Amino acid sequence: MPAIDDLMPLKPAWFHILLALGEQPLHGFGVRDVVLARTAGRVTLWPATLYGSIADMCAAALIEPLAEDAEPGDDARRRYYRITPRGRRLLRAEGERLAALASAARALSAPEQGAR
Amino acid sequence: MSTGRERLAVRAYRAALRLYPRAFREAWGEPMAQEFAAALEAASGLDRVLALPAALADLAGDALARRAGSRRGPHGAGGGPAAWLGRPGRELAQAARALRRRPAFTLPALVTLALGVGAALSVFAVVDAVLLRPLPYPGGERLVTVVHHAPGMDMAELPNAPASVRTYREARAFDIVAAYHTQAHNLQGPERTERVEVLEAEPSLFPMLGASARLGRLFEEADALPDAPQVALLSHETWQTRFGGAEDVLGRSVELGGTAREIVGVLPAGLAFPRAGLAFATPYALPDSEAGGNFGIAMLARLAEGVDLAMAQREVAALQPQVVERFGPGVEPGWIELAGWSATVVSYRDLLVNSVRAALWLVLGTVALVLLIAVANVANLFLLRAEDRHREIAVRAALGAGRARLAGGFLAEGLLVAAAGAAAGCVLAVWAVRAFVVRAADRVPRLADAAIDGRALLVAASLVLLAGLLFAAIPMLRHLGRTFAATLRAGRGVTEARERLLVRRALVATQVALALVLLAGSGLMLRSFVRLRGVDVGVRQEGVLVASLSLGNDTERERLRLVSAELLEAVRAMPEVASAAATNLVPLTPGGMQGGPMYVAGQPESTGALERIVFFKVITPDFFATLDIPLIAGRAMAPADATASIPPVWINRMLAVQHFGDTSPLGRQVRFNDRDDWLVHEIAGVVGDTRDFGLREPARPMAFFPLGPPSQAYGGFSTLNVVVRTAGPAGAAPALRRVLERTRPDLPVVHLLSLEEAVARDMAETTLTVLILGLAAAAALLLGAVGIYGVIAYAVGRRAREIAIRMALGARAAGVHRMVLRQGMQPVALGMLLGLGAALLLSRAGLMASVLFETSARDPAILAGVTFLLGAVAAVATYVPARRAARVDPADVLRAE
Repeated sequence: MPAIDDLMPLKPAWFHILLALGEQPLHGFGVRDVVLARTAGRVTLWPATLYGSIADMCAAALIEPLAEDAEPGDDARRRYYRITPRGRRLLRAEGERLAALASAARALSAPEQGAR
Repeated sequence: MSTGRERLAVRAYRAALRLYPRAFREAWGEPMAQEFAAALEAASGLDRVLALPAALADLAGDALARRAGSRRGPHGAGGGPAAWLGRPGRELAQAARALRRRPAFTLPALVTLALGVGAALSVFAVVDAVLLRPLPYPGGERLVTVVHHAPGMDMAELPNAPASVRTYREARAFDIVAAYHTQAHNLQGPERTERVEVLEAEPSLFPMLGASARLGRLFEEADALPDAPQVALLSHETWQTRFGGAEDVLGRSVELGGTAREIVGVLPAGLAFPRAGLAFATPYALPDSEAGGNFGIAMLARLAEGVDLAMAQREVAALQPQVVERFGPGVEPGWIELAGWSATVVSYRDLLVNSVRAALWLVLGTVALVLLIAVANVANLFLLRAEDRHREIAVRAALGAGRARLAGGFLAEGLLVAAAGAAAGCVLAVWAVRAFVVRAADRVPRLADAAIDGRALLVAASLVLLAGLLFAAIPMLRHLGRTFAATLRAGRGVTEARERLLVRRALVATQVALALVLLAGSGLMLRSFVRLRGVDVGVRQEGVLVASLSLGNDTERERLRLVSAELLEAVRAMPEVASAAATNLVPLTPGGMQGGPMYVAGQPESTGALERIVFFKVITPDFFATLDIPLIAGRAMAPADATASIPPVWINRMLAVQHFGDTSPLGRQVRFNDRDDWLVHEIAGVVGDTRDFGLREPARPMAFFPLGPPSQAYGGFSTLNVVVRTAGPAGAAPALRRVLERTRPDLPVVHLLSLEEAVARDMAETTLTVLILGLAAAAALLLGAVGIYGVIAYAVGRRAREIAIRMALGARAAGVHRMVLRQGMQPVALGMLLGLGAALLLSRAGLMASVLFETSARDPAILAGVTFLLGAVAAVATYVPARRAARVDPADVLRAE
């Protein structure tokens, strides 16, 4: 299993999924809706990205299915997923990284306003 | 609720799931497909249109990455070559999302491209099917025919005669030679008689075409012998439609043209020789008599192994004295020179498509230009978008997106727009080609096979690649050539803006040049069209109906006279009919025209000059009155003329002038052969000239014989045309058909159309070309105007501050206005110069000249006119933003800064 640091920078889709599951457990379709609503329609997780990411994130132990007894592929659309503690740590770390970057970018572009 | 289109999209998505490794597909494929269906149902508008391409791009990227194993680790976009496979898919999905968020950019770009690609692709498919593809016969490129020319006799192109076919059989250049011709015959059906097209062919024809019998056998040499049993072959279509595809059709009998024939075989499906729609084939043998060269048959020959067209041409040219010698004793030495006699070997494919070649290439060139303009316009849109995005791009770069990554994004966007536009264009083209095939398949040879097939799709794919790279190159040049920090900090540099403006101006000049070429072409076609409309056919067309009846083989003259009298009596009794007549030939339709020389009694036979060919028509008395052909001298034709002892003849003005100059031809005796035992006719009248060979062909010398009295001048004819001038409003056609069918149910009415329709048909090709060129030119003008407007508006916007300062310093509004106009019109003027040069250069290629009618391809009035029109449109497109610039309040602009 990769270390948390090796997973950063986090892919946008993973970040959005972690963010959505950080609030409450959701099924696949629910994740898509929450992301769509949060980003005001700008980010659509198309099926392959959504389930591909869910599959990989389960493998990386960032999220896990709620019902342990369910067979994989047994109507996976209605299966609920929740964030793992490890996933929550990663979400926090990535958030901090992005915040640092954002303030750097703001500092860079600030002089432009006064240049005119 | 899911529509058929949605179900199709979901099916396509499920099919694409096969891209995944099996294990992953089994675990996740079903929820993904359901998810896609749900997303599709929830989407609306443009989102819905883009859902499938976006989801497929998403799927392909993920699936390829998984197959490459890169998703084993969580770092999808991380290093390693395997990750690259996954990236294109993600870039495409991201590009699709970005495009969907900008419908104001995406929609115009897609529509413009779709129209451009659709037009170009559909015409390419037609050109490919008609002009480029090889004949559907094995060794088809070796099939040739010989065309003869006799300009000294006003005969530009003649097919073959028994004399020529017999001569060419001995040529070493050909290994097989077969004569054939098509003829309409009456087929005696159980209920009524029908007219069917029959291919009469020498037995060697079918093996040359590589055909083998679907059922039974094809012809054998013995079938064409004079006393052989009468046999016939069925076309595959006839076998299916008339005989229900019955296997026991062999041995049955059909009555074709009054002859009972035994069916001995069925031709293979798809053998559309020499065109589609032939119902039967019967054996043909060359007639024994040479009769001065009866050039009414067709010939197909196959080049011998190792012989090319040029070698065959040399041998055929050398054989011409032998051909002429076979014409018989009437041909004197020196005749070849007098007639300007020559022969050309033509590949059979070229012969088929000669009539449409020029028009098709012209139209293809036109739509290619429109496509170029469309691509230029979309490129312009990309340029605009690149301007809009410079901050976004710089921020992305600052956040760690490498140049390669950004370039990949631009590439994905360019390719996606090009691909989506081209895909929509393909759909349009499929529809357009189908519509065109349905409408014109009977007039354009080989058109029936036209379709958007693999070759057309290959062309479309290359277009996508080229256009996509061009579209991607624009933002790449814009953003990746400089450092991002500089862009972020300094805002827009002056030099950069100039460079960008230069690119846009070059685009405008290109568009203007292309638009001018198209406008010039359509202007010239329009003038041709008007000239063609103005052609005096020599008859009054309004209210004239022509019904053609198939006579079968009963061509005995006295019976023909009685039949026509019976039909005319019934027709004249109709209240709608003002006058009616019968003739052997439909006006404006040269098919079946007969002709020969005319000799005047007492006039010394001109030595050294070649006798001009006179064309013959057989008519009933009211013919001239019905068509309003003026009687210039002499008397009208009377019923008694049909039985006169010295049969009278009427001639047209052209023939009168040719033979009699200023003297009166009335009462002069003429023969239509120089043999003394041929009948003497007496000239009873002179009538006005008519254009019987089509609007583009001049009138020819013509002699009119009353139907009935004996004359050796003209042979039999198998079609009788009833010509009717209606009195009341239009709509008498159905009644006329009913009366004719009731009067003689045994003579099927083959066509019935008004003379105006016949003229419209004759003009159909010109009308179509005018229409296509006109539409293309209008599109070019519109796109050009949009392009000019965009550039000027953009330039004015960028210079608002400078203009404001100038005005604050005392510049007058008029001066600002002039300055903007001048700068706007500079690229326009350059484009017009380039366009004029290109138009003149293209006129030298001769393509345009071959479709024009009485119009020069460099007509100065047209060129000046379209230049003026384009200039005016460009001036308006410049004027609007220029006016806005001159109206700004300098205080407002400077305050906003």
